[in-house]
Amino acid sequence: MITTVALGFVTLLISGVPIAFTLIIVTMIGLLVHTSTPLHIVAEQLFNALDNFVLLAIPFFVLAGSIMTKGQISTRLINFVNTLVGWIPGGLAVAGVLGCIFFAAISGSGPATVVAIGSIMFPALAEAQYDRRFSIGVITTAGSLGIIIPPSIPMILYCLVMNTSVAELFMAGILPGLLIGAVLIGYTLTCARRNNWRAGDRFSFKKVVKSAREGIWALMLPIIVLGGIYTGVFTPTEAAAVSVSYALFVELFIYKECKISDIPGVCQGAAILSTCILFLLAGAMTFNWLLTSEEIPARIAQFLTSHIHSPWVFLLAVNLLLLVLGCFMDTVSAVLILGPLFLKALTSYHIDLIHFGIIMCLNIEFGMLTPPFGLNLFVSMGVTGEKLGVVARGVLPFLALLLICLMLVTFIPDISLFLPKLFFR
Amino acid sequence: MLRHLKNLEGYILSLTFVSLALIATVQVLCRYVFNYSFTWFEEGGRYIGIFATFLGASLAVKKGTHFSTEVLSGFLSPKARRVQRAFIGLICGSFLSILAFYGFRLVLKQYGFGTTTPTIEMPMYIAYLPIPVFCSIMALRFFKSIVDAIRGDEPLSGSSEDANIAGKASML
Repeated sequence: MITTVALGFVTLLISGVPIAFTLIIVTMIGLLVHTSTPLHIVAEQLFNALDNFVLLAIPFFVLAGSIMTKGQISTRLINFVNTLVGWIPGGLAVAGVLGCIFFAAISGSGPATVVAIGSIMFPALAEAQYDRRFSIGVITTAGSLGIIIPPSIPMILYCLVMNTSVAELFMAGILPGLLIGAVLIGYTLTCARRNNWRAGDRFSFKKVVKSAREGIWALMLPIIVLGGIYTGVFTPTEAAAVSVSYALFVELFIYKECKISDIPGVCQGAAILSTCILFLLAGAMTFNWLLTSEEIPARIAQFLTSHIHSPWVFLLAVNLLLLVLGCFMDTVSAVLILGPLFLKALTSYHIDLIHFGIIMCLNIEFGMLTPPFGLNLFVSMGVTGEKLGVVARGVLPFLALLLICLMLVTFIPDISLFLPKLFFR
Repeated sequence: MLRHLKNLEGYILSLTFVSLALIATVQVLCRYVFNYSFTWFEEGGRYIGIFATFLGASLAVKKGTHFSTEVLSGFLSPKARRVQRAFIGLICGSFLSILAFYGFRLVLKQYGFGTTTPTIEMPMYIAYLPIPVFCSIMALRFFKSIVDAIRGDEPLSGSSEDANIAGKASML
């Protein structure tokens, strides 16, 4: 069974069959060759995988993200944070990082954050004569916080395949996200001092109040979305739906820069691609069903625990594996396929699923910033008009910082688990 | 006429998701303001979500936006790439036809049971209907891609690389 499935999987994947179909086809082959189970079970499993209200959060967050990237919300956010920190040397870049953190708290997507913040920040940083490579690196990297700071689409996917709580994982992402944000800001300030970057206008309380008032609708959104989830007013799915309606309302009737006729165009691409993700998820869950019914995760767990005794070595190995796999497929798919395979092993190592989820998200973040599947890099290329080499080299020093954060988060579980323990357990 | 029909799928898809989001918002408001909740929404939303996922997945086959690894295609000559595309079309098309067949049998089975969903009392076989319908459409689209590959027509995804990335950008 394992040989057939593994062989079929690798062959189809390499020959370029879409990952979702690879998973479905391999499941069908496995059933045909090794069991007498009738094939309609595959259709049934696809149905069961999708028959879940939580899933709708994904298209909703995708839609909300694309509406907000097109509209005024991100501009107002940046104006606000810039009046807060613009007066520090290097302050404009710090404002960029803060803007990304804010936007990350209203959108569930890394690349969307790069588009939203980058399309305003890159020209502004260039005008203020910041080093080009540095500004590309800092915004592209900070944009990837979109998937660490809740809400986050990859987190929802992880929770669906691993069957854990979305609200808890969202909560666990806050501190690691802020940690990475703080590291990025610290590095920016050091660079600013070393290179004598100039500061912006002097601090003025009046300006802060004015920009806060102009941006109040945008600033309210993280409070509504996250506050709503944690006070129990609504579920993550409902929060996602509310952020779509809120973004539409604010862009159409308050900021009025968008027209109703723009909406179908904005939504269509987002809708198609979010169904691609949902379909991939359904394929992954069907495939997992096959593996679990053949008790493959249990066998993997047995194999691993007899060879690797320390959970830390195991976590390190998983990190390495994902870094390598990231060169062959995008990391989100890798996590969807590998996560459930390791489920049994995680229990026998007593590793918390929430903690593991955050580690997976940091790995996905890493994958988004490295070629060949680094979506953030491609998006950044699109926004800046630079070549892949320039963007990748700009991101390079930040990757080292991220690697340190990844190690910290891996080996100090409390960075991720402190808040969930405080509120949920 | 045909052109509008071509876009119809996309319009239905985006309209479905946007209206679901709006209804969900109204539902939250009603729950807190009027203390009234729509019990049908969770159930209805799930089945509409399944319909929309299969609709979108079949549209994505046409547009070539499904995620795949592009390890091989970078090394291939244009001619070999056409062979590769025909191969993908053949594999996916045949297995999806099988899946459509079994999906259809599943629908028939549900029709025979005559079960309905708990709250909205919709016949269960309707909820399963998107599987055979859109699997068949996907299979047809994959078979069509074999014809295209043999004829040497360029795939849609190649020409709209930028749109593809921009679309993916808004999602992850």
